[in-house]
Amino acid sequence: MYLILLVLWFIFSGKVTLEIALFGLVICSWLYWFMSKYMDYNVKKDIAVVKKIPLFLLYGVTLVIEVIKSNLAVIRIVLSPGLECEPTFVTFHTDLKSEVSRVTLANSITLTPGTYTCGLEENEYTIHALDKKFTEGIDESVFVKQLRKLEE
Amino acid sequence: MREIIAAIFIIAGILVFIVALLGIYRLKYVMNRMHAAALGDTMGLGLVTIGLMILGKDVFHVAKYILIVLFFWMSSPIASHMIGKVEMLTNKDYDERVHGK
Repeated sequence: MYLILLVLWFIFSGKVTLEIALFGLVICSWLYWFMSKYMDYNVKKDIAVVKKIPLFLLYGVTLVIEVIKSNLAVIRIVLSPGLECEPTFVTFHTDLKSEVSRVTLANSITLTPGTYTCGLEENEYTIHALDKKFTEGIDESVFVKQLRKLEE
Repeated sequence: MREIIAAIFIIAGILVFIVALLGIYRLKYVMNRMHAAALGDTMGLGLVTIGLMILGKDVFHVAKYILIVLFFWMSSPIASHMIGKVEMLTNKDYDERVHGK
């Protein structure tokens, strides 16, 4: 987390000089102290997250690939002469434990065009899909498998 | 050469935006229109930012563009989730919801 704050500081300042680096170190240390005191962040949790960085990157790459695939499918539907699609609602249950991964799954589903989450209660998702073929295998998608690995 | 590649990406992004606009007009119901709007949010924005990244002068420009895409992708699902939820709670006409194109 400290490193993320520092990198953000450098990105927003736009150049690396001694002055900016010193200010950044001081401000980031203060922010990190504030966050670990009042916002439930601590070094142990951060180390656990750092170990999962390859999985996060893999998740990001999968997300981008899925987004591109479904984008092309939706473009095909929009440009087809008769708008060949059957809008449907589906509900499914997931076995993901933590709230964070459930919300991440809902957001990933919404981010891919063609499907989005209208309701999420406990572990029941309500999904609206533009066409029936988007709903095939949605309860066992690649996102679920990767999130399960991330939870461990 | 760099400008040409960047221009190709930006033009492709704008074409995706045009398709999204067309989709919003052609589809008839709120929930279906949102799918078309999501096109511009994801691929349109992505392609335009890739084009601008290629034109960027140094590493900080590229990092800022990555941040733009990241924050946009984090916030846009929440907005569409809210629209979908409101539509689902207020419109009980299931037939229109499912079969209206």
